[in-house]
Amino acid sequence: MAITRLGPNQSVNLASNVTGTLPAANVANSTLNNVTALPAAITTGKVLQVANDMDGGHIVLNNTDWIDTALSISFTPVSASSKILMLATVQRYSDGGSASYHGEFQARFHFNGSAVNETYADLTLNANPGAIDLYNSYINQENSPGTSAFTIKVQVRNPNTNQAYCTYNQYSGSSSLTIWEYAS
Amino acid sequence: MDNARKIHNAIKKINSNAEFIIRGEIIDGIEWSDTTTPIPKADIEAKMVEVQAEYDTEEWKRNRQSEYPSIDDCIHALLDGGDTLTELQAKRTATKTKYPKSGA
Repeated sequence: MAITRLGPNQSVNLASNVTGTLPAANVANSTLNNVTALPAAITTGKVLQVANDMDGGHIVLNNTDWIDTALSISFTPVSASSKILMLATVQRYSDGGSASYHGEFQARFHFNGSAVNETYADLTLNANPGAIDLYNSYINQENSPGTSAFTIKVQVRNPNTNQAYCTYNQYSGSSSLTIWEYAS
Repeated sequence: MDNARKIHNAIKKINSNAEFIIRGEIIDGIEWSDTTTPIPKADIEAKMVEVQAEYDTEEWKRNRQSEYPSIDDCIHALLDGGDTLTELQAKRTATKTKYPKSGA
């Protein structure tokens, strides 16, 4: 193998004098931080952040006032132009005491201190003996979330307390809240 | 009867208009609405004993309901009459015999 001796004022030409593979240990995060753009051939996704919370706490709902569940996520968007998609899957149980009435149940999001997307769920399915145990999904989107930290919570209530035994997370059920920040 | 429903039914027996929630299926998990005067824990516990006793005395009724012919079967038997109706009545009688009323 030929050996090239460098003179006092010569430097190594990386293109012609160096071959081989750069050892992984020599690649540092600080070096990669200088990369500000990816090649066009690499497809980038639009989901910027995802967060999730699970709650298995049981609550009997005999309240017309809205109450907080334990589903809560604190979140800081990375971009002011993003959109925030939120999805809550809530386990509810209602027993209206008859085969044709199964009580009422409501859920809503609480976004940064304000209630949004109140959803009514009145069930009158024909099912014996009058108790139903199911999951309801609630979805909402915030189009201008800004870049300040915010909190999203899920609240529930039973608007008809005289009519049914109504619970959240019956039979060791669990509910979840998931939010996505995506580039729009 | 599970503990949460027992607490719920006991409170409703004391005050049918009470508004509250119960977290964690325990009495200490009760949160009263601002519009409802809280009920003492001892009163709820005493009423829970009554609720459970009433529930237990109606076991025969729950058992019968789970084994009685369906409403559809009853309608068909009434319309068809004859042997169909006789067989359905025999099933109901057998269920009643199997689960006599409490104290009977």
